[in-house]
Amino acid sequence: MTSDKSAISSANQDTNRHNAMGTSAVSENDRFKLLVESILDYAIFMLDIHGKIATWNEGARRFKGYEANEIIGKHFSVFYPEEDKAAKKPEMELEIAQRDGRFEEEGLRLRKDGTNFWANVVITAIRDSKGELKGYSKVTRDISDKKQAEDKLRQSEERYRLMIEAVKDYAIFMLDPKGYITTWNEGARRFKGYEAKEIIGKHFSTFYTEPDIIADIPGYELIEATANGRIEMEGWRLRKDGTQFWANVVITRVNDGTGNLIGFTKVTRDLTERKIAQEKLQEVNEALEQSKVNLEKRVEERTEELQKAVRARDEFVSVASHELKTPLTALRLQAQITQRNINRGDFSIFTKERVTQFANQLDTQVDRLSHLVEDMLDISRIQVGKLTTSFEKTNLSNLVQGVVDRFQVQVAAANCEVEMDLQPDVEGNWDQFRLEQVVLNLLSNATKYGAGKKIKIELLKENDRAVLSVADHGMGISKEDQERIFERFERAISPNEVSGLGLGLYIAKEIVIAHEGTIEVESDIGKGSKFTVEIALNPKQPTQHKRSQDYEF
Amino acid sequence: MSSSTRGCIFVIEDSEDIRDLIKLLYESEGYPVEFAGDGKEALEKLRSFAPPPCVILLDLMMPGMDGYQFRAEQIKDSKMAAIPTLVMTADSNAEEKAKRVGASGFLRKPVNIDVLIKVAEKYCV
Repeated sequence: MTSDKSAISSANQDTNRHNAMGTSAVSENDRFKLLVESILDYAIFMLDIHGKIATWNEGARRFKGYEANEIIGKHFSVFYPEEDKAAKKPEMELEIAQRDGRFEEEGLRLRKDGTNFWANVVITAIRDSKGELKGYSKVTRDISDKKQAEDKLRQSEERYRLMIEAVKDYAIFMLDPKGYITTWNEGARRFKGYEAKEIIGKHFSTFYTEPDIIADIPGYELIEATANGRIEMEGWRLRKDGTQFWANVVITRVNDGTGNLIGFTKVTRDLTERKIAQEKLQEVNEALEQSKVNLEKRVEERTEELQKAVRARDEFVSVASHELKTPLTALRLQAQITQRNINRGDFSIFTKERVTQFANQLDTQVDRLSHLVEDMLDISRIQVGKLTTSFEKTNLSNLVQGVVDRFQVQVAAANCEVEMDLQPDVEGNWDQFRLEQVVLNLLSNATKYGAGKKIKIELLKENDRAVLSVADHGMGISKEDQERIFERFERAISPNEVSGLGLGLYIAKEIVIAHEGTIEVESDIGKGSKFTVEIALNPKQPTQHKRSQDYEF
Repeated sequence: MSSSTRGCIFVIEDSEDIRDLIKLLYESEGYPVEFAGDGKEALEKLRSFAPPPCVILLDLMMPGMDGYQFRAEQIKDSKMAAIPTLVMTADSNAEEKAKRVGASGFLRKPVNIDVLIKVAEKYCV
């Protein structure tokens, strides 16, 4: 430092000298002076009570470019830009420092070369022990770098703020660490319907549905975002008007420079349209899938029905062939044996017993064939819807009695006993021949399947219906078989067990239907079956066709 | 059973009329013949025959043990299985049914007596 006329500066020089010689005699005042003068990063100097510069240090020299000898004694306003000087800013600052003891500001200051720097300035009033103003200390720091950085940051933040506020397609806002809303943007206003002033300060759970709030979804989201930095969810959210929208929500944890949680950003998109489209698509897909499944099931069922029908038909053909050819075999053997013996001139086999037996066998086989053919014709008539009926006044009690009488031989052969309870006056308009077929079929079944057991036949009149039942104590019919025994080509047991085409109950059902009636079975395996026929006393004549006659004179 | 050293013709058939007529035919032609009404009776009788039948005529569709079940039992016994067996059936697929049960041949119902006599001549002379 160069020598100076001022007392303080002279003292400085003395101190330096003392210092060079040894520190032992240096006073406390001198030490402070030395300290201040050596500080490089702060301009520290004194002003007298008028604002004239009284001291100068190394920091001041560096910042402002003046040497001590050229600046001491000048008014400190030389550091102020013209407009500040015109506005008497330096004088005002001294007044404030004098009044309040201290003045601090940040502002532009001038260097000796006329360039600017951004300065932090503290001016402190210095008073003696009597409180009399002795001058001011002025500490100035060059904060141009910091100021520049702050400006940039502020500009950048401002740009982001403006940008985010303008975004319309996303709701972007901030939450404080507890979830209270601190900012709002255009997208948020549009999606949710709240203005910034009415929503800022409210908790973000305002947007959640009641079930979500009960399940504390908002709390969960903040915990997750705090723990993992981020959470993304989709769900129904509420608008101000109470309507819902499907939201995609991303909540991101926001940290300060040291990693402490200072809040969250929340970015929400309205995906309602996409959600609705997805749901519709899913509904359509599900409906398609369901109809596909239904169709496949239907095809399977239909195929199974057809396969069953084909199997039943094949079995019928096989059974019909067997049933028809058995009597034919007997007939052919009779004819050919007769021919062979006649051709050989051997009549010894034609004894009276043999011829009688042949005649009986012939009649039986022809009768059997005739019934089989009639059944088959009935089936084809039923199939083309031409089961002919011819209604006439009929006493059903007499009819049943007549059938039982004619069937006596077969009943006896099967070791059965028929018990009858017939109300005598059951009369109606019916097809006698067809009803005989029904009764005969039921009785024949009872002897086939309940051989050796009692058969009970009951007939009574109920209002305008006749009710006939035939009960046996035979093998019985399983629940499953009960459903199909009235179908064509069906019978409850293997065709080998009992002769016949398995058409009887099917034909009986069709006849009963033509009499506006029903036929039902109750049965228990091992206990027997009871068939009940119920027909109208006066059914409507369905066709005018007469059944082909056995004879006509 | 015949006193002849030949085996009999063994007919397994459920129709009594047909059994009677075949008996009449073969006996008047001088062939010994035996009968069973179903498979179970046939197996019982077969075990008692000595010598064994020269041929078996087998109806397939019978109550009780039918022709198929009878064949299944018959072929389990090597002596019984060795007896030529012809199925006698009303089935239109007689040939296929005969193959299915591994029979030596088939007779289609209604059967001609010429065929029955040829069977006897082939197997029982």
